[in-house]
Amino acid sequence: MAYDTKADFDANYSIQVERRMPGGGPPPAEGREPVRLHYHKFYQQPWLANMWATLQPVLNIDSSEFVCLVGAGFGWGVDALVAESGATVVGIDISQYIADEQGTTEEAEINAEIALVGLDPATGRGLEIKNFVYDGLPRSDVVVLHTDASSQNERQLIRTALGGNWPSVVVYENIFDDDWTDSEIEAARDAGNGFGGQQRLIFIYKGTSLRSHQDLFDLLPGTKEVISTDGRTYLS
Amino acid sequence: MALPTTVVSDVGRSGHRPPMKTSGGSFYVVAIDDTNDVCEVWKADGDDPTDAWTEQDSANSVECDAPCVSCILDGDLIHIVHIIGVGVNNRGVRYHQFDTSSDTWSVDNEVIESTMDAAQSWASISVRSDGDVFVTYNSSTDRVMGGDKERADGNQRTSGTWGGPFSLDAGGDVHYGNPNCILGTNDSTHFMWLSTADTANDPPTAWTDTGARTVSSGDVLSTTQTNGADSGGVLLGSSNILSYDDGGTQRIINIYGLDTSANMVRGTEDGGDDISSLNSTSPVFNDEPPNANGEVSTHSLTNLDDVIHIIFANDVDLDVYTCSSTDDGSTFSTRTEIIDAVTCNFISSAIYTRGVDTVLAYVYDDAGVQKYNEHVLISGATAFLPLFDEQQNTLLRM
Repeated sequence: MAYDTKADFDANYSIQVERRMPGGGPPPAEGREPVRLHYHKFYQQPWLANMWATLQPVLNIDSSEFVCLVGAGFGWGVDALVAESGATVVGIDISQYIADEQGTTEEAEINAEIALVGLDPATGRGLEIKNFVYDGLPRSDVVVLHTDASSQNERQLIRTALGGNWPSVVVYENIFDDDWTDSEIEAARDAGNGFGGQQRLIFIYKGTSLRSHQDLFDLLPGTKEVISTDGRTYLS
Repeated sequence: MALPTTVVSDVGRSGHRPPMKTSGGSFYVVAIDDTNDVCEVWKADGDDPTDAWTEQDSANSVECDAPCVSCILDGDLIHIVHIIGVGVNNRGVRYHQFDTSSDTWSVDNEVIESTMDAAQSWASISVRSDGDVFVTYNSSTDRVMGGDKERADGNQRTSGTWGGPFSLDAGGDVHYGNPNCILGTNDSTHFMWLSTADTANDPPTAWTDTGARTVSSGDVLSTTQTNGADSGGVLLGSSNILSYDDGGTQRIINIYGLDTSANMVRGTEDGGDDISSLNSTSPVFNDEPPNANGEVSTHSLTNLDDVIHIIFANDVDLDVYTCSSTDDGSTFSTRTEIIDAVTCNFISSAIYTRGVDTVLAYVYDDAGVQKYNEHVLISGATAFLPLFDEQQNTLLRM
């Protein structure tokens, strides 16, 4: 599984910034690389908001539900799901990068990306780019628990975070890729199904050429739902 | 000499490179010398394309290791954009300019993008009345959740300087590609592209949607119009787009080839000259659609007085056919074979008058040789003086 360190996230998320700024850029005369962001709020937050706006009409998670969102990252998906459903949501993530940087700002990382292409984030074009992507606030105001819910103690932490309620819905927020083995996926599913009572299990999955949505659905035992990140495929 | 005439014994490349006729009555073709990796301009001897063709300013032929080349004639200038680099991670975008008033190269290998990674190689070009040049191309990918996502960018040249890429697409976990641009009304520039949110394949193997937006004469980028239309497995299935006046309504047409048929997306300008809506029709062809030469569809679009013409290589026998539509692409006539016993791998067309005839002129690759030919649309038309608009690839009447 390839999302533990900052380097992992940087390798899996790389988005050119300047072509999306008014006027675009950089002009070729400057002879430099464009600034790129990685797993940062400016792009991830609206994408997740858009994803949940697309999925919620299909999933219909009720406002009375208690949801555990697995693979929540910095929690932008938690915010989005709360906004779309009104449910009570806690996010969990096992990534060390997420655990280390929770509650911090992105400023140092953004400064580094701007400096990487030879610009000064304090002046001129570098400052213009920084002001375009950085809002001065922490990455997220959501607390994401550093746990994989694989033990009873960890599940109790989740229950506490949900106000003493076991999750009634467990959503896996697109955590599976081709690095996951079948047994690892089954173990993750078992962890989500290990809370007290019966959980509704939802697997948001983008799908790959090696493991389709149907492949994932067929792999998982019991009652479950598999939905593509764009909502066009929904299996239940 | 009779048509067709050989322009150059070298393979045709992807892109939109129609034959061009200047206001002075000279005929030009932009071709690629695949052996020596240079871009060449060929001119019909004696302004007669039924005669031989001669390369112009060959000593200064521009370097062009180019999977894709597109060009457009504006006044005396031929504007050329091409994608260089044969590897996915080694692409770049370059601009050249050829001056037909002196038959010399006036701009050589101007850098639009120095290096980029792009799974497909495609570029399109248009020119405004103020001389600003617009290009659009498959551009550098973003990496999203571990997958490379193709992007469609535009770029603008003002007073000889390129401004840097500007995004046409909305980003996200979506693939974008095969963008084209064309001049609309009042110096608006329209862009159309294909996309898919199917994440199972990186890079994509098929498109599922289309998109469009406009840069106004004041350089304002409009909001995006979208339409879901199955574009199938031909990733560079859109050869060029049309823009024409349909009785007071400006249409923008995109027809893209598939594996088994071809679809059409039609845009309409609003009062502000932006593309305001998209609708689609499928299939354009019921059988034997344009051939897909690898990932490139071998067809080309033109418009004559509100009639859309498609010229294409049939996917069964690779001969050249035409068909047309009088209802803005909703239906097309039965195809007509105009050349038999050829192996057409590339084709690009324009409509102009030559002598007393109005012709659908085209450059095509016949088994690795680029040739010029014509299909007469109106024979002996002398009752009016037609005006050809190179920018919109359409023939107007005065």
